[in-house]
Amino acid sequence: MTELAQQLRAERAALSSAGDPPVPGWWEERREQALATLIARGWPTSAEEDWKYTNVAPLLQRGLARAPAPPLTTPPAWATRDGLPEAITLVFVDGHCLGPASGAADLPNGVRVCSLRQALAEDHPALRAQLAQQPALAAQPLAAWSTALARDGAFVYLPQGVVLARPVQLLCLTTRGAAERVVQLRSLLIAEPTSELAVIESHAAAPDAADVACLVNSATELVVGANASVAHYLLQRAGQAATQLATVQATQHADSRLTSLTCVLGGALVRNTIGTRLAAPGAQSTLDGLFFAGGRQHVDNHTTIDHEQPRCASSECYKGILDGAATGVFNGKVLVRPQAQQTDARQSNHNLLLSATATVNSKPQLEIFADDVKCSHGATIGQLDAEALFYLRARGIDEGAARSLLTWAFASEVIERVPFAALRRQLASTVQQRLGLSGLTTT
Amino acid sequence: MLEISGLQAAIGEQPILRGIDLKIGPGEVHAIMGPNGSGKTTLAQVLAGREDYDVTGGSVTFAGRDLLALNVEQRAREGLFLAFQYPVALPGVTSSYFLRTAVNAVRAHRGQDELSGKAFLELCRQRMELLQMKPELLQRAVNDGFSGGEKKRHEILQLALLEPRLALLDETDSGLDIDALQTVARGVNALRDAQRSFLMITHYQRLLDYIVPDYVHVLVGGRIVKSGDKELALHLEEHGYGWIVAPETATPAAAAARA
Repeated sequence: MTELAQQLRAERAALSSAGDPPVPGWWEERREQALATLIARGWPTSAEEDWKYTNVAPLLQRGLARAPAPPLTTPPAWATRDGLPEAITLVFVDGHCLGPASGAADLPNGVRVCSLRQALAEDHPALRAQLAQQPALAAQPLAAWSTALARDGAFVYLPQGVVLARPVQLLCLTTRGAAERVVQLRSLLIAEPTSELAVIESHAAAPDAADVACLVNSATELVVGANASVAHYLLQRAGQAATQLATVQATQHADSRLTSLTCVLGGALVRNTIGTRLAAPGAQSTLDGLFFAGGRQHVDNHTTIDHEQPRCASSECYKGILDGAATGVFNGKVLVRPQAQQTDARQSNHNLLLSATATVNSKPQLEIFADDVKCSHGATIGQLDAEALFYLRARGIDEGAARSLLTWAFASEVIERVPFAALRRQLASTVQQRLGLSGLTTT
Repeated sequence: MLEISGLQAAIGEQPILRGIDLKIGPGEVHAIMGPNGSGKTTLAQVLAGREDYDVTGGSVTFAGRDLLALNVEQRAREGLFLAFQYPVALPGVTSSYFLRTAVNAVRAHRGQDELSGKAFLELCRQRMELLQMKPELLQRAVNDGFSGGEKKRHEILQLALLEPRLALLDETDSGLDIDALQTVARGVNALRDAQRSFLMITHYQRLLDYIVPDYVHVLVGGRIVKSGDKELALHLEEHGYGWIVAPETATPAAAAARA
């Protein structure tokens, strides 16, 4: 047995004696399968193109998921302090869901917002039908790692035709207890045909744990039914020593709409792997992202948009701000398969380098095998616009403040796409604080 | 107020201003006209402190100070204002925040207290009325999705709020229909007084019907080749720039404009 196999097997064995409630047999089988796939594939190394810039090899040495489930059943006040009050909320602390969802008293018939553990205990039929069934997710090593070892996560299910007026909020927090440990989360979000769902997946450290070197590895699966609409907001404000790994994979059915927005504002090492499969005609995807890194932060964004069927549209806009000695990566793959005629795919990645020691690697990767398609991409790496800087200074605003304002202007284009005012204000104020701006409200 | 002597400026190896002499007294309104490529916008940008140009000769005194020794923001705080031909859009930055930041930067330099939010809004409302602007504009991102007329009025609003000693208006008339032009002109005229000076840069005489200058200068090939009163502008409108004798060192662009 290889070292990797030995370690993963040991983790699995430790889990089974952790005292978690029993799960259905089919889930044990799928976890076993994920484990076997990961072992067969091997742990990612920087020799692989997809892992060239982000070295995850040392992460395997961390002590894994052995922490017992915390005795808390209701979330402490600090956990929901930064949340959206109107949302249906699940709180996760160090990878464990605390109590049932709040704000979920009057949900329409058949709607489920609960922990994965709860859904497994119920053996929800949609869970059995959809959990860990997407090949594109199974192929991602970090997602396989989560599937094999996660003890909890979120399960959201919307039956056909249900329009959920309020967003679902997943507040994923880490405490001092997560130091040097791996926190695994495994979630599944299902929107049946013609339903509408918005989910905010928010990752942050507890107020007293911003300096904790924890590792969070989350895998979130989305199933977007025919003519359904799902918006997924991934907001990462991890502590300055944290490692934040996220895999998000969607399957979109006919005429469905997916909005994915990722905002990376924290963490020492961040790797996001986000993909959608346009699996039926007429589906539309929007993938937007903002990453703002300084100091020695490293933020790696890998996205894949798989145009499998005709008449689908995708639009992608990622923006990066790199300061200090930070490094950023954008790798945006757009695959247009032979049968995906009349595809409309647009991609852009714009990066702002605020210091001479910051770097960014931007790699648009378009693979087009159909002939009747409209595809465009543009990538820029640059400094602040000299004309705009001159304009602000010509109004008496000093150069430092002018630079901050322009950096904010650059970031705001992504932040303003967040449709929830309270959340938009929080994100704006986080960015503005880092830029030393005060008193600036969002438009 | 402003005294320019022998000002020369270049971009890289390319000389653009070839020795400008110009004196503007307090309360005077000057207009600079000239064909495309004659150096009009360069003159405005050099005066405002744009660093892309190299000043290769001459001097500029502004309100008794060596203007060329000051950086961009210092010039603005000393009371020099440039209304841009192409104002820059600032997504995510509301007009009210931008204007208030600018006003307070200038006030701090003058030793005045910061304006409170309320006092600032009141001042804005007054000035906006003058320019027939809707207060809602303050909540929009600066120049983001503004029409041509809104952008130019927004420039004049900044002029009205910052109360400079000298305002440079770079092609403020371009892209304006006649109604917008009249509104902008009314705003500028209301700001004229015995102390505040203006330098208008324009390609066409039209603007000068509404903002009547005391002096008109013709810039060709980076030099002022003719000066006069407002009659000169009318003459230029009728006869073009061809009849003016350009200096011997005229640029090919200016020669082409003469042809």
